[in-house]
Amino acid sequence: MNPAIFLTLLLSFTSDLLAQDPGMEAIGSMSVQLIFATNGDPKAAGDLAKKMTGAEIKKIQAIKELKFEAYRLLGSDKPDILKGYESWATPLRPSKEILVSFQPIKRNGDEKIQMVLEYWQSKRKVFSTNPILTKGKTLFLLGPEWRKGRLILAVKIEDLKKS
Amino acid sequence: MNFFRWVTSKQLMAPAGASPDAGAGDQEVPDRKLIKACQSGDTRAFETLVTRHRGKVYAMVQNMIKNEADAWDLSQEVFLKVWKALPKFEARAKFSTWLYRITHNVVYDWLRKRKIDSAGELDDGILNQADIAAGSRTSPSVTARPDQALVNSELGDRINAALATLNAEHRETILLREVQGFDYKEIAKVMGCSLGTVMSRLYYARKKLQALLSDEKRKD
Amino acid sequence: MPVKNSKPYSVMKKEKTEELFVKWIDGLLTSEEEVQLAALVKDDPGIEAGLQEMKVFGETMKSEIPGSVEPPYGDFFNSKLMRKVDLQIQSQRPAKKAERWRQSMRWAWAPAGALALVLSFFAGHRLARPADPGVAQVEKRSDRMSELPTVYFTGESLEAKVISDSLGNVSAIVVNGLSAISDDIDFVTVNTSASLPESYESSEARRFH
Repeated sequence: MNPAIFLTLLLSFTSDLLAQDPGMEAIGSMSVQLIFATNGDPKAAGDLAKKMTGAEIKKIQAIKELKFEAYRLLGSDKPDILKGYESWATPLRPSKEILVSFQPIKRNGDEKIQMVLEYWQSKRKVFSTNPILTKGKTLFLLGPEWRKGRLILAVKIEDLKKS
Repeated sequence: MNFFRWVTSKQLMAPAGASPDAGAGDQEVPDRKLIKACQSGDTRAFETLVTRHRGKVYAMVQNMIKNEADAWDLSQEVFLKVWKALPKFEARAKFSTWLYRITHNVVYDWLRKRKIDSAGELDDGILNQADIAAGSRTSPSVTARPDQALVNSELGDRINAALATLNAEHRETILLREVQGFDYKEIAKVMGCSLGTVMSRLYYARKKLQALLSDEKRKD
Repeated sequence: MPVKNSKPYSVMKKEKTEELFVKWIDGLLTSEEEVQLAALVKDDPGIEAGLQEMKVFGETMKSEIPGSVEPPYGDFFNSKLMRKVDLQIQSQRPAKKAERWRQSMRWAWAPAGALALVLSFFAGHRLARPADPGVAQVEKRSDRMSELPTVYFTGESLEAKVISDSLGNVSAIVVNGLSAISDDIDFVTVNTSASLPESYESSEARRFH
């Protein structure tokens, strides 16, 4: 056998057996949006805030506690969901004022996954929760007050590999 | 149709020393047997060990850094390090001393990192008053229980405030002695220092607390 | 004759005195040390009152500061920790396998040609087992209410309301009592004070470097 081929085979073989971290595998992605909701002037959200679509607003307003007059999208992030590690979403990047961390705990079939979700504000963990999230379904977290309105986090599994 | 339920906030703090998950069966198995099982890879034994000792670790970390959110995470870190280091643990050593040694290292790493982040703000007490107010166990709770009320007593507040004025080494020494009941040798092992240093730190810490608390008493 | 202890006498005396005081408070003086302390007290009667006060404060500390406090949400504490332990175990398995393989191959190097044949045979196969799933499967389906999340707070007095739809899926969590974000904060200027956990930095490094 050609020594070069032999060496190539040897190297490719051993690389399979070198230590791999299964936890680093991305099993999906999560979108985290930060929304400003107000019964006052939505322009208070600032120039960088974007208008939201009717369909998006309708979805939020379907929940009585989240019903406001106006909504603006402040920012979003879409990190991977890692099999074994915590991921962080920075929806207001570069600002780290509001952060969300999440890590899978349990798989509930192909479409659902239970997560540990942590809400961080001003660089302190404020609360954590363990929801079962369904792919494509948004979980809303009604957060703190800001500029005469409230901040709402919209968390949704965008993609999820089959279990 | 939407369904909903109210979940009121609560801090699930059991009475000091209690281990809610520890049943009669758990008490029968001594630490050394659990440790041996852990060293063979038995994670259930490890979880029993965690349940048994997490209260002491959490209390120690909390007393040192006065920050509940971080104390929770640091306590996790302690036990994860314990799991990783258990293969090296020698049966003849005392588990609690070893456990507190790891706790000491984790706390000091956190304090060092915090010092780097907030360079120049530290005085004799690592923590400033704002930190104590934000992270203190004595912050008001919606549902205060009788044992919580004891911890929240005025004297308890004074002692906590006085402790916070000590530097980390003095605070740790006196906590290990007065609260955890360690003897001088054990304290020296936990803190990685000599017996003479333990004595000196104990003396200094007691003297300072006496000076502060006597002053408080006189003002009353 | 060289002096073994290089400390000045005054320092040694101070250390010894401190030791006596500490041991008296802890009730651990030997009879010889009691005599030594008595001599000191005789010279300065104020010492005893001070030591007595220190003793009382020490005892008060013991009663006021609990030596054991269950971390909030103990079941969650354990489950999160055991998850990390499981991941730690899994991450070590491929490395141990690789090490065992390397050890076993050391003596097999002699006939290079035969080795090449062996390797070329295996080249088309994955010998590494697929990584164990890092997320456990749920064996039983829980009832509707128990599938709703719990909310854990980290020290502040907050209230949470968990809202689910008719299928029992959580749709919103309303948290009241959170500190308001200052109106001055515009989310454009970066707040650099205080650090975030290492896992945040690792997560950012993975994504952007």
